[in-house]
Amino acid sequence: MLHLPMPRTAASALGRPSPTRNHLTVEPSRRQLLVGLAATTAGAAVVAPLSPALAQLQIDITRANPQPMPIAVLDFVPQGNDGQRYGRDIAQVVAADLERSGLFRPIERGAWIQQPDAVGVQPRYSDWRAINAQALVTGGAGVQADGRLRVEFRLWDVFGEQSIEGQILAAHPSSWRRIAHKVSDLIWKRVTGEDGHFDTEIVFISESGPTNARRKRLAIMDQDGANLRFLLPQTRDIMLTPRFSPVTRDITYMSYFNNRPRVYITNLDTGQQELLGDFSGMSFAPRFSPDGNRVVMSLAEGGATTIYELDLRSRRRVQLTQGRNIDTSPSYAPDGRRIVFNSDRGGAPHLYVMGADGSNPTRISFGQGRYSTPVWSPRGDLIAFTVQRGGQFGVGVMRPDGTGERILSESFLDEGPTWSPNGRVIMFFRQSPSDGRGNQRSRLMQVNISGANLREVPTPEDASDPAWSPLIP
Amino acid sequence: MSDNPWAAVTQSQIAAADAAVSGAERDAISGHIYPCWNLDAGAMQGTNYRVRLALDVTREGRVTRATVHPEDEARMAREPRYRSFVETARRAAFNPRCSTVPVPRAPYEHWRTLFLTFDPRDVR
Repeated sequence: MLHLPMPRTAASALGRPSPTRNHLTVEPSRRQLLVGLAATTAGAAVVAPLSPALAQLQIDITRANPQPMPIAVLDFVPQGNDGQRYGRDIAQVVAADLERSGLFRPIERGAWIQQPDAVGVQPRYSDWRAINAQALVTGGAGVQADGRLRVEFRLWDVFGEQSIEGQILAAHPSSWRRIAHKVSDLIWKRVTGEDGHFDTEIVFISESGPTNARRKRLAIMDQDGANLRFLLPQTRDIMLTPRFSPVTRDITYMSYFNNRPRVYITNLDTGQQELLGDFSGMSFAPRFSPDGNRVVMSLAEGGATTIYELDLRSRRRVQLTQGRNIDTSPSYAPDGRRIVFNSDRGGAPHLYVMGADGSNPTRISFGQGRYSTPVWSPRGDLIAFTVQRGGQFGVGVMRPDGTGERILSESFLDEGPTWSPNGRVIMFFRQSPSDGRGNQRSRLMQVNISGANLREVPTPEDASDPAWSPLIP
Repeated sequence: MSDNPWAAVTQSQIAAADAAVSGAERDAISGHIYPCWNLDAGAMQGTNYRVRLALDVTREGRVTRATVHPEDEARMAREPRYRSFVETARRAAFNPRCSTVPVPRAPYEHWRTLFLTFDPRDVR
C-alpha cells in the first residue's frame, strides 16, 4: 500500500507584499546632484571638460566570494491550535532545507537580538544587520477551526529593509513537512530566481545484508531523508535503477525475477503497477521522455547492445542505434530532441549525443577513462556522468557539446548521478572498499553543480541508485 | 540637472577619473567590495550576466545609494534569475562589512559616485 498523497494544499497567495521603497534605488540621506551632466551629453567627446565634478570613476568587480547567505529563520509564532509546535518544527525544516542547499547559512538562535514574538509587523532591521543577517524569515502557524493547518510566512531583505515574499499555505496537519518544503522552495525561488528542489522525493534502492546475500528493496523518502517507506512488499526479487517520470507520479524500475529482468511502471499515488515487459539483456531500467509518453532503453542481443525507444501507449518499439557496438544508458535532453548515451564504438566507452530518432551520433567526451551513465540536466545546460580513471570513479558534468568538463566528486566508487529538478544539485551513490570481511558500505551523496557542498544524504540502511523526483504537484 | 547618475557618461568623464584615481586605489575599492559579493558559481552556469551599479558615497566612503543602470533594470523586470543576480550585487554594496570603501586621495568630486560593473567572469 502506497502512502503518499497529502490532502491537497489550497495554497493561496497573500500576494507579493508591496515594497515600502523602491528596491532598485536606496534613497540617500542627502541627494547627490550631478550638476550639468545633461548639458554635456551632446558633443562631449569633442569638448572634453576635465572638471572634477564630471569625473566618472568606473571599477569592475570580477571576483566574488562563494559564501552562503546568512539568513535567520525565526520560529513561526502560534496562530491557532498546536501553533507553537508546528511553528517551531516548520521553521526547523525550512532552516535545514536552506542550510543543506549550501546557498544559505542559517544563523543560530543564540545570536538573535530581536526575538520572534517581538517582530510584529516589521522587523528591527538594525538588529539583524548587527548579526550580519542578509535575509530574515518570519511566520505564523496553527490548526484552524476547519482542522487545516494554516501557515503564513514572510521573507525580508534586511539591507533593502523590505518584505520581498509572503504567502499563506494550508493543508491537513499531517502534511506539515510538505508545507515547510514549499516555504523553502518559495524562499529559494525569490532569492535565486529559479525553481526550488525541496518539495521533492528520492526513490532509491535500500540495501541490507552481507555482500553475498544482499537484499535490495525499492524505497522512497523526502529529499531530506524524512518519511522513508518501502514501495513494495519484501520479496526475494532484486530491484534496480528506478527512474522518475518527469510529468507524472510514475516510476520505472527493474526487478530480477528468476534471473530474468522485468521492467515495471508503478504509480506512486495509486500504487497501481504494470509490467512493461520481460527484457533479457537489460542492465538499466528505461528512462522516460520529457513528455512521459515514451521510454528509451538498451537491450543486449547477440553480443551487441542496442538502444530502443518504446512508445508507452502503442508499445511500438523503434531501434535507434545500429551495429555491433555496446550502446547503453540513454537519456533524453529536456526538449526531447536529443539523446545522450554511452558507447564503445570508438574503443573505450565514451559519451555520444544523437538526435532522438537516432540520427547523427556525435562523440562529446574525449578525456581519459571510461565514461558511463550520462544524464541530461533538466535545465538542459549540462550532462552529468560517471567516469572511471586511475583506479577511481568520479561524477562530473560537461556541456552537451562536450566542453567544460568538471569532476565534482571522486572516490573508490562514485556512480549513478541524478539531477534535482532545478538542475542545481546532483545526487549519486558512493560505495566504499570492502572491509576485511567482504562487506561494503553504499550511501547516497549530493553535490552542487559548482562542486561545492558535497555531503551525505542519510538513510537508515545502505542505499544506491537514487532518482530525484520532479517538484511534487 | 539630473538625479540619474547614468544620465550622461562620456569618455572624457571616464578619462578625468582615470587621471585622478590610481589603479591601486581602484583595486582597493574592488578588493574591499568583492568579499561581500556572495555569489554561487552554480547560479552563473550558462549565463553572461553582469550589472552596472552607480553607488553614491559620502566623503567617508560610506555607500548611501545604489542605482541600477536603466538597461539592466529593464532586464530585471523580464528575468527573475537576472533580478536575483542583481540583488546579490546590491547586497554586496550595502553589506555593513563592505559598504564603507577606502577613499581615494583625489578630490571628492571625482569619486562621489562610483560606477561599478559586477561581472563574475572570474567566477564562471
